[in-house]
Amino acid sequence: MKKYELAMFSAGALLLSSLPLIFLTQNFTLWGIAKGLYFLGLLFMTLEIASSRHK
Amino acid sequence: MIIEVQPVELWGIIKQVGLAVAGASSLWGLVFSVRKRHQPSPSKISLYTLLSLCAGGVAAVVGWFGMQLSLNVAWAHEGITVVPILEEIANALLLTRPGYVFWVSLLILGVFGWLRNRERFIQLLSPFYALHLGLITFLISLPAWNGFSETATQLFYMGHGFHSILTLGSVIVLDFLFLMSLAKPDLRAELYPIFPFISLGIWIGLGIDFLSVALIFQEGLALTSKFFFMQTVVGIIIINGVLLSGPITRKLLISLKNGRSLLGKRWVFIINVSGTISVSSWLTIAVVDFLEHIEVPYHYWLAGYVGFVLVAYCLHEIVVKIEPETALE
Repeated sequence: MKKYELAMFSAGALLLSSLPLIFLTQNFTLWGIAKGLYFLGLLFMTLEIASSRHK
Repeated sequence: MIIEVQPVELWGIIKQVGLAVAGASSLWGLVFSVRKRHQPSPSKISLYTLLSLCAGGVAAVVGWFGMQLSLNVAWAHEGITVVPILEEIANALLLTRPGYVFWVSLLILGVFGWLRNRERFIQLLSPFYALHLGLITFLISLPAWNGFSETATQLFYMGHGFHSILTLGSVIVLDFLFLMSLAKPDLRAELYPIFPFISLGIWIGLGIDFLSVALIFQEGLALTSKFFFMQTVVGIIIINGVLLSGPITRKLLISLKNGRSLLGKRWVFIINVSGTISVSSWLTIAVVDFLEHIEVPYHYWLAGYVGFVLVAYCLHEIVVKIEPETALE
């Protein structure tokens, strides 16, 4: 798996894991981290596609 | 438990899916035609996107007329909800009316142009798609208008509407083109190098969605079963999407490079299941967005979703049986 795929996969898994926490405690910390990881993955993906075009 | 589906919600779904498909067809049709602009033969893929553009156009206009007739919309997203008031919907329909008339005229002119002088039409394909993309972006970004373009709620309406071109529309158009490429191998050389860009477009679309929801988070958050269900589907979309656009697509491309018979049965099954989950999950999100008057427990939502995925998979298998050319081997 590539770096951005790993980041996005973790974002999806974290998002799912955060739901029981939100249900029980209304705590959105994990959910927020998942969204952050998603954008990090998106950034990695953009950079990789941009660099592969210049090779 | 409340289960109530209003006609206007169904019209709204048809309009949104139609606009998303038409917008994505214009976007990717433009990309393919621009990439081929300096070559003697036109982009074949961009001719196929004309078909999906017309299909999306018909659906969007039918949905738009339906909404005009039954003007009472409730609307949500990801379980984080902002429901536009009736006046905002009416404002948007009024504002976009000239846009719809112009767009439909352009579409009809395009069909006549195609029938009368195909070669000339193909030369004008890029500006044709660019104009459509501009118009559809305007139409889909104005599902509601509160009169204040700078407010967070209005920006949410715009982002929420627009992202469907990149997400739902692109997934449907990509699936259509991919199935066509299985039946017509000459399309592959043009389509497959674009896969990473289409994936990036879909992920950017989901990012736009996340950002637009962040704008109304405090106001729109309601911890209902619908919220938890929508978040579950979003999580599944991300995980499945990563696998589908990453390892699965890489495996597929390697095997298709030299023919269609290198994939084993296990991989064909994995690809078909993953593709089905992708399309049906995006459709689920789009449809459930509009169903504001359904309040059922979480497991009811989940059972409906699983049932929908299973039905979609069975439909795919039936299509493969009828048209064996569209099957992976």
